[in-house]
Amino acid sequence: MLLENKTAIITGGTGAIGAKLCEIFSLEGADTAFNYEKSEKKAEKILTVIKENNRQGLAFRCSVLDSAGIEKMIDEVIRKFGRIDILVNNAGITQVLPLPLIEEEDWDRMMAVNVKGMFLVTKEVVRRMIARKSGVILNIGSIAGMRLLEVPVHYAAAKAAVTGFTISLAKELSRYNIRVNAIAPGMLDAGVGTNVPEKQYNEYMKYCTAGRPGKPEEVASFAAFLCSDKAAYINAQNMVVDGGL
Amino acid sequence: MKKDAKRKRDYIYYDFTRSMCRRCGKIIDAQIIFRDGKVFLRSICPQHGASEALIAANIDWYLKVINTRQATDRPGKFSKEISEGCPYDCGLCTWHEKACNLPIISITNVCNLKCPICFTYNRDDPEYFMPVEEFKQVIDWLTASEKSIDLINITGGEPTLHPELFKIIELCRRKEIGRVTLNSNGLKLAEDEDFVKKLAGYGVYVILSFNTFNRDIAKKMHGADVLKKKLDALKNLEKYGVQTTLMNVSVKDLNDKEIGKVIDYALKKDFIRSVTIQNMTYTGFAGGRFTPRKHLPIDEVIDNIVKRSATVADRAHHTIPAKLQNLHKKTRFSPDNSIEHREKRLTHDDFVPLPGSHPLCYSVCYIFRDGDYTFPLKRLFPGDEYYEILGKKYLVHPGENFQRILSDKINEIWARKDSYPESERILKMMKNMIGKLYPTGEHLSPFERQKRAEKFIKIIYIHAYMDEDTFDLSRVNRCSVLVPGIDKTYIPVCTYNLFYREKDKRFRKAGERGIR
Ligand code: SF4
Ligand SMILES: [Zn+2]
Repeated sequence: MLLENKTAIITGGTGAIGAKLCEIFSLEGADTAFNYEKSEKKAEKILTVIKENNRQGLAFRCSVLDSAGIEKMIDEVIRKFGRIDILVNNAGITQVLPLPLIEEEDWDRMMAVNVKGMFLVTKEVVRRMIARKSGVILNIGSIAGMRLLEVPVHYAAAKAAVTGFTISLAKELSRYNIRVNAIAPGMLDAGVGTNVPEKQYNEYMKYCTAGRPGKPEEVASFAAFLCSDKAAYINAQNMVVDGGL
Repeated sequence: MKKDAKRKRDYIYYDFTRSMCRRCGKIIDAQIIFRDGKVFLRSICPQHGASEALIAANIDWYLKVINTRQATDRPGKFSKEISEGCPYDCGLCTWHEKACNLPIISITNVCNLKCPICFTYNRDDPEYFMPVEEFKQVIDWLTASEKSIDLINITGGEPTLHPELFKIIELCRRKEIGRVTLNSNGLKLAEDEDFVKKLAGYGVYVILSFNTFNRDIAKKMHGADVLKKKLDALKNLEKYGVQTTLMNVSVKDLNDKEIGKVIDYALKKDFIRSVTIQNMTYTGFAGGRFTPRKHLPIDEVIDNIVKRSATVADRAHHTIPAKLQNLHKKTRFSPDNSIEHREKRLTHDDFVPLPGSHPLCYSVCYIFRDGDYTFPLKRLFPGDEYYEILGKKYLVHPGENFQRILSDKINEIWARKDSYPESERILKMMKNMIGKLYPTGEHLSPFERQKRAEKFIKIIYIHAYMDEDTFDLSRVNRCSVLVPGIDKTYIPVCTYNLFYREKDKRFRKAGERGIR
């Protein structure tokens, strides 16, 4: 098992990638905590999966933008799990809109959830990691922030920010033995990828060597590897999982 | 014949086609001619002489539409080689130009009304109800020949009387089929609320025949005082949110001037998706005897709508601010006749031929709608893009092409806001629509997306069926409204009504001659 005796916290645990992260991390041996915003039913299902994998699970209903809620959540995880070895910043949103229709509030919401949320959770967790001089952080970005693709600009901008955040944080935390990486998934057949308009979908498929959209588990199993000690020599990287574009 | 040759030529010859003789039923030569600003189909039977029928009320309209861009859409499968020629090789023969966009399946000959305007041949002895197994065969054939089909229309007789209707509807739940539309005169829908609820549960779209708000006219058209029933049916359909089309048979000098009222009603109601106006066709057991026989061409229907439908615009724009009102008083425009106000009404230009059919068969007007705000789509897309949006099918497909045209338009409106009246409101509407069409984290099939797009659109279709007088082979050849058979055939519905239904033992007794 890749993550035996580790403890992990995953944001956006009920999303398509989030649910697979919880499933695979617990399968690989990690006690797994996650937060979610909307679906209590989904959260319960995921908890059951974690328990079926014989690991401890914790679920919190709180937004990544609610700093007080996050602090409470982290405290609770520490109390139950003893420590946090791994943080996966996975919570994120998208919105299909061309530039003319993106209004200030759309921009703000996109930046808030995808960038500020990542910052708030990371800051709270890193505090505990620095104290223990160990930890792994993995941020879920997107190919949208890297390549010449027709994607909503506010989404692309937010996902590009993930890359900048990742590398500078890796530098800053290196002296505490904390690794920080990012994964940039391509188009998946679930989550934000489900309702990609036909035009963009077809264009992606035209250039994708795999010739199909990816699956959330293909991102999640790679994430488990990156967060494991086997990947100890991988740091400050933005790893692309896009089927070869 | 001689007499006809000697006749003074008081017309302008325009074109040549093939038609049929009302008396002997033979396919005969015909001319399209212009006289007194109007367009006529003039057919000449060697035995029974010449006859004329109005096919357009205005030459300019006719010349404008007759060569509009047509979408070719070859049928998926042909069943017959050419041997006797059109329409005797119907099957489809290899000559047919259009795939099936609108399959029409009659599941019974039984009806609980005897409408004098009914244009089908419909015996009711013995009673015929299509067996479920037979229906399945038809559906199998449909899905084998056309891979994906937007809708299946179930009709009759009165199809709600079929004892196994829901089994039939169940059979249409396949991934290749977008939806079922069910014709009805509304009696059952008025009387049986649970039935309507069940239809809603199955996601069936209802096409309710609705011709008038006037009781006397209703009596003349349906042979009974059915207005109350029709209104009750509407109430039930609205209650259960059944997506509804009002099917309006328009009869010249009877109910044709009421069409504005029907459209205004439809535009106000969320559950009503479209209005289909069908001109009166003088064929079938009842319709063939209906008098007076006055043909009502598409452009005359458009004229009736334009003159009589109140408004299509946002109410907010109708209240002219006090300051402006004074201005209006000072100018020669009264507020009511102001340019702004006039533009809110539908105009002739808001209607175009449906690209998937002959211009004399179908005309369509799309109206964007977001809450209280409405806007005729053609005004946003005055050029060829409009035809691309409409596509070659009966319903719009919000696919790649649609998306490209829409995003070009959004950019253009945004970049040139000043030249687009109400640009802010239109952009807001587009944003709402995109949010509904591409919700994140929720998977929509193309058919589901199509249904969501339709929530933002009201459609007025004008469908001019043909009878013996207006029958024109050049129209049949491009018809996509087809009757699929159990014998792996398709027959264009006008041809079916005029040539084939009478041979169909289910709907007509042997030797029975109808009106001919
Ligand atoms: S041939 Fe008849 S059924 Fe076919 S499109 Fe023309 S009018 Fe409609
Ligand atoms: Zn004749």
